Amino acid sequence: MTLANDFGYSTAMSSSFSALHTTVEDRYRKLPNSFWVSSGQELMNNPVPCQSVSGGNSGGYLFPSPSGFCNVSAVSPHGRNSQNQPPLSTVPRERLAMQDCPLEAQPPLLINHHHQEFTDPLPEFFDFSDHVPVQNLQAESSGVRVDSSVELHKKSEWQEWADQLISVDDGSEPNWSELLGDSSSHNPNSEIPTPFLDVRRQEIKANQQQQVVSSEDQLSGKNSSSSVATSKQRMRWTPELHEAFVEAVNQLGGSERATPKAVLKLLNIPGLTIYHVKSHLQKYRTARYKPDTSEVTGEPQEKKMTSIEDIKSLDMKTSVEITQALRLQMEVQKRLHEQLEIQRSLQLQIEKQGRYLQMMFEKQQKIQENKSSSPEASPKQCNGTAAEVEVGLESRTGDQNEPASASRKRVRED
Amino acid sequence: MKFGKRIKEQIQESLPEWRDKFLRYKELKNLISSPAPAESIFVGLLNTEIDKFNAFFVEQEEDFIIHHKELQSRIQRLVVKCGHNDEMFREEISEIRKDIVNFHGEMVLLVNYSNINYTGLAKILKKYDKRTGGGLRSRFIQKVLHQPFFKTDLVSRLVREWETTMDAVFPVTIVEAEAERCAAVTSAAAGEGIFRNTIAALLTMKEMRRASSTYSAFSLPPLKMSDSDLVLRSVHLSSPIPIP
Repeated sequence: MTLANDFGYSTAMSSSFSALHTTVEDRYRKLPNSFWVSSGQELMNNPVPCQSVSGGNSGGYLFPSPSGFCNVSAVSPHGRNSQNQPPLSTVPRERLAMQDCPLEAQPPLLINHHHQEFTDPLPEFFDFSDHVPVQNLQAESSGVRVDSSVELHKKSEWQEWADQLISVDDGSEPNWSELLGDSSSHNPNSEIPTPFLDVRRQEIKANQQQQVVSSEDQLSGKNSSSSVATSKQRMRWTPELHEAFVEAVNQLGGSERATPKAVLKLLNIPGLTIYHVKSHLQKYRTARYKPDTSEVTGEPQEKKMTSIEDIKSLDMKTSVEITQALRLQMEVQKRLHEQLEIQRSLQLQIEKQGRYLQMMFEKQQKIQENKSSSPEASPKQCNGTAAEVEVGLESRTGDQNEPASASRKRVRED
Repeated sequence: MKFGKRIKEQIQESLPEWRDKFLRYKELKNLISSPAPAESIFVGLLNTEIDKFNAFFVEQEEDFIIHHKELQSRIQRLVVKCGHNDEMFREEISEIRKDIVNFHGEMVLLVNYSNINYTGLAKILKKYDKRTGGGLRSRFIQKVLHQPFFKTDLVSRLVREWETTMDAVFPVTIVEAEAERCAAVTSAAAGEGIFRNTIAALLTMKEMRRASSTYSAFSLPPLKMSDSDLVLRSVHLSSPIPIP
């Protein structure tokens, strides 16, 4: 760049500062709500009545201890609730998804807290043909979950599902049932206000759905190596849980002074073990005292952009180049992410379609077996589907390698 | 062979700690090619791989969550510290900007990791079915869909949050915008680590989705990346990082 540009740059800068002044403020407001959630923690000192929390706004793990943590979850309403809800309500589903292992014990405890129709979220999860990209799914399911109906689900359905879960021979995940079982004992209705409980129940319900879905997929062919019981269960953290963790650590005097045991006790979250807390605390300490290292490589981040860093110290002009480079990098990353999300939803659609096709194919076969005549029945079934399905059906039957007997066998297994 | 080559390239380009966490595609392929591939062995291997993915993914996710909060706190402190002092803000923010972009990149790469491994599993299962004439693929893939490593929603959410935040930390001046249009900085930027990995991932994805001889109802459509092509074409990757 020429000198003129340099000059132009600095004058542009100064003239834009006033614009920037207001722009920056606007931009602060643009910061995602989650930024302001934690800043609201300063308000923690004054316990806010728990009733002020609307459902779906906080990580459910906080509920079991009415004493300490009402406040943390009460913080979130200070942000913008409506925007927080969609992402947060999907979090429970994944947060609670450890390995794909079903519950093994204590179904009776679960029965007490089941509180909405199980079938609801399940079709949503699979209904990707209508909800592409994935964001839509989140938005929709959040809508479903925030609606808290207090009606208890029928006991019989629970039993059915519980039986299914128990009968599956798979790795033990006692924490699951503990997680849910204990929460039932920790949540006497009289102590915890309704909104909290509703969210908690929604999460339990979501969790249950996960469980059932995964158990259905445990067919005999899949010898899960996770049947080896490990004392250190893999825990899936969420930002909300982490915030609670940070809060607890701060209460205990900071990351250096807080001990895993104390943090565990303070958090009082069923299912959380000292191993989880210990390893998380270790990570947390590392992250705080080495802010320049990437958490992945452990290398100083400067190495990543060496070429740009070297230039940076030289002069103002190149800071523009750096910004450009960063922008470009960001753009490419954004693009990749976009494509990944699209690809993912396509893959899900494909599998869903595949299952559907398979079903149709098997039905067709069954019909052909059972009735020697009525060939018109099967084409009708096929025609009822979308065009792509038809095409898929053609190509599927084209490369369908399995013999008819195998598919018949599968039908019987189902 | 195409995917095998692609995933190998991806692994080469990825961050060092990640390299042994990917799907062992070649080994699995070799198993399938063997005279009598036993389903139990095959499935056992797959499950081991899946456990590996899950463990790595969940751990990375945890790290990201911690880092996410730390970065947020850092920015907040800066915002509070600078108040209306824009100049100070600009100076301080430049350091954070880099961290944000790199953090964003790492998270995207984790999503990519998840995807590549899923794709690999789908492909290897297809090969298995072709070899054995069985129906393992559709059953098994259903299980895979519910694995923690496949559920990238949380990481994606964080990624999008940071994309939003970028507006706040990337103040645009007129001159900057113009300069960007004739930027020749690309070669410098593509030199290292995350960025390089990201480009490689995009190119891989594009390659893999080209129509092939085995194109079927289960194949993904070709990749649409109209303006990204411009971005990619403008990037010149330097010679590959030699593997020690």
